[in-house]
Amino acid sequence: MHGYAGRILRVNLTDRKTTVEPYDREIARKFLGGRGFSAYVLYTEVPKGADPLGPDNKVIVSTGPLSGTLVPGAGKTDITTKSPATGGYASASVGGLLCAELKYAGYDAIIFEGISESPVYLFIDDDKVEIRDAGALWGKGSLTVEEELKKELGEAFQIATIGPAGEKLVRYACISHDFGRQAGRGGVGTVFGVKKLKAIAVRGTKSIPIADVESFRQQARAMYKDCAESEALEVWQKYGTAGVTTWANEIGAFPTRNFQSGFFEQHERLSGEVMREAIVVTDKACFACPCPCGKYSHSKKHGVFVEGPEYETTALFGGNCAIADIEDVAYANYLCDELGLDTISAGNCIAFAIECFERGIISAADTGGLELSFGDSKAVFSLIERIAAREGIGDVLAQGVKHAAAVFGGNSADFAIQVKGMEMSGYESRNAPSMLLSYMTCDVGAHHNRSWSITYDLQVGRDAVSPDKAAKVIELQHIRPLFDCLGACRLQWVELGLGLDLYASILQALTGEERSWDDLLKISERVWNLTRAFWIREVEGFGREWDSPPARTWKEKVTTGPTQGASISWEDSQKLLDMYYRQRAWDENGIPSREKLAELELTDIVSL
Amino acid sequence: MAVEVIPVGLIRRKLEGKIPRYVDAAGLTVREFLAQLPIQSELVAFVVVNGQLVSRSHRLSDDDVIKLAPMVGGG
Repeated sequence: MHGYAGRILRVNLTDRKTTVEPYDREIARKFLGGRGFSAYVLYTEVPKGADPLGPDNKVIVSTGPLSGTLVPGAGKTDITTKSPATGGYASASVGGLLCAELKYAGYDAIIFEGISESPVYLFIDDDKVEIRDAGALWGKGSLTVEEELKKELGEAFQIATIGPAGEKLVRYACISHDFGRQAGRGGVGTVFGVKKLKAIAVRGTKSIPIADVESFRQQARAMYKDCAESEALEVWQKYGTAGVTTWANEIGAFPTRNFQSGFFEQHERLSGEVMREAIVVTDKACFACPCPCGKYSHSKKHGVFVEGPEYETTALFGGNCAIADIEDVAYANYLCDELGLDTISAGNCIAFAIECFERGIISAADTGGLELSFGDSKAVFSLIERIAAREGIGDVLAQGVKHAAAVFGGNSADFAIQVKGMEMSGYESRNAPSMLLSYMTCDVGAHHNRSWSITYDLQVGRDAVSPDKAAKVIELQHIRPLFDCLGACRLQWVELGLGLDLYASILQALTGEERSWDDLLKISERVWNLTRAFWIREVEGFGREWDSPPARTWKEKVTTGPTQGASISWEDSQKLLDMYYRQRAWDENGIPSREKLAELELTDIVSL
Repeated sequence: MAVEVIPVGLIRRKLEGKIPRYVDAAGLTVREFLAQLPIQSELVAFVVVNGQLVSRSHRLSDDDVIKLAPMVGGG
C-alpha cells in the first residue's frame, strides 16, 4: 500500500495486549486516512450509547497518507474519540512530529480500547511495542513528562502526553506534544485520562513506500519552491497566528469580556509585533514545514518558556478575560500547557465565570473567597489551577461552560458562549453571519477550524443572509477537514497560496492511485456526513436545536468597537441554517437524506 | 514622496491594474492610506512595513515598502 505503513496498532488497555492488523485497502479508499479513518473506526467500533468515560469508548490516533512525507506541512496527527465534553464526535489535530515518527515505526494509526487498571504509557520502537508502567509520571505536567521521557528514552522519541487535567477528567483536557503543540478540543485528553493512558512514546526507523519516487520528489520540490516564493511567507513566518490580533480588533471580531464585544480597547498591547518584541525567542516549525509559524517565547516576568501564545489563546485569555499584558497571557498559556488544558475552552469558561461574578450571579462564597473581575490576571491564573485540580469552583468550570451555566443559574445560560457543549473559539461573530453559521454547524461544536469564513463575510457584505454564505461554509467544511484526512497542515494552501490540485497530484505520485481533487472532496463530504450520523445516533433527540447559536448572538448587541450594535436575529440564524441543510440534502432537522447517504456510499454502515 | 506597495493574494487580485507600484503616501497613517485604495480596507488583514507588522495608526515614510496581505484561513 503505497503512501501508507499498511498496519494498524490495536492496544487493549484492559487486557494489556497489543495486536497489529493490516490496514484495510477499502477503508483507505473510502476514508483516505487521518480524521477519515478515525471517523470510520469511531462509528463502527464504539457501540451506540457508550459512555465517553467508560471502557467501550475508543481513542484513535491516526496519520494520513501525506503524513511523514516531504509534502510541505505533512505533520498533522488526528486524535478522535466520543467526546466527554459534548457526548458527540470529537476530533482534534496536533502538529509537530508525532505522525511522521508513528508512520516510520510502521503504523498508520493506533486504536486504544478499554481502561487500564493503573497508569501506563505506550512505548513503540519500530516493531517493539510495550505497555509500560507510568506510575512515576502520573500527576506530572505535560511539559515535564515530555522532557523526562526524552531524557530516559532518547531525543529521537516523539512524545504525546496528558497533564494533571486529563488525569482529573477535566472535560476539555488536551493531549500535548513537541513542547507546546496540542490536540486541544473536545476532551481527547480526558479520554486518555480515564483510560489511565499517560503518554505515547514512539520512535521509527522505517520508510514510507512511494509509488513514483521521482515524480513525488519533483512535485515536493516545486511545492517547497512555491512556499518559499510566497509573498505571504514573511508575515506567517515572523508572526504566526499572533499577527491576526490587530486585524481581529480592526474588524470587531476579537472576543472581549466574554464575547460582550469584538473589540478590546487595549489590544495593541497584545499585538503580534509587541509579542515578537517582548517575548519571542525563536520560530518553531512542525514536520516538513517551510513556514515556522510557531513562536517559542520566554516570559521574564514569570520565568517560563512557552510555545505561543497563538491567536486563539491571546483572544480567549487576552481580550476575553481583558488581560492586557502579553506576558500574563503567555503565563496563562504556559499553565494550560503544563496542566494539559485546552486554552480556548479554559479561557472561555473563565471569562464566563468572571461575567457571572460581575453580574452578581455568583459571589466570593462560590469562588472560595476569590474575587473575580475582568483584567485580573492573578485571579485567572488561580482559576486555571483550580480547574485542573477540580477544586471548588474549578470543579464546576472543569465540566464546561454549559454545565457551569446550569449550576450558576440565573440567566447565565444566555451568555454561556458554546454550541453543542463546546466553548466557542476566538471570533466574535455577530458581525459575520457565515462565520456564525460555521460555528453553528461545525462537526465538533463551536470550533473555527473546519470553516473560517470571516473574509467572505467582509467581501460579500456582513449583513447579508444569503444562500451563497451557506455554500461557502459547506465548501470550506469539505476542503479544510480534508487536510486532516491527508495528514497535512492547510496553512501552506490557505495562506501561502499552494494550489489544491497540487495535493491531488502529489497524492497520486505517492499512492499510485489516480484521484482528482474533486474525488478527494467527495471523501471529505462522506466523512462529514458520517460524523453527523454519529451525533444523531449518540445524542438522543439530536437535531437542529443542537446547531443553535449562543443566545447572546440574538439577545444582545455588541457593546463596543467597530461593530457596536451588531447582532444576528434568531430568525436570520435559522434562515441560514435552513439554507445550509437544503444545500447539504439534509432534512429540516439536519438529518442526512437516504439519497445523500447512498450517494456517499454510507448506507452499508449508517442507518438513520 | 514615494511608498512602494506590494499587495498579496486576494488583495493583489482586487487591486490588479488599479494602483501603481509606487504611490505618494509618505506622511499618511496606514488607515488613511488604506482608505484611499479602491478596496474595502477591512480585507487587508496584515500591513507589513519594511518587514514589520504595523497597526493602522502607523505613519508611513518616504521609501517605505508596504505589503498588504489578507487573511483567508483563520487558524
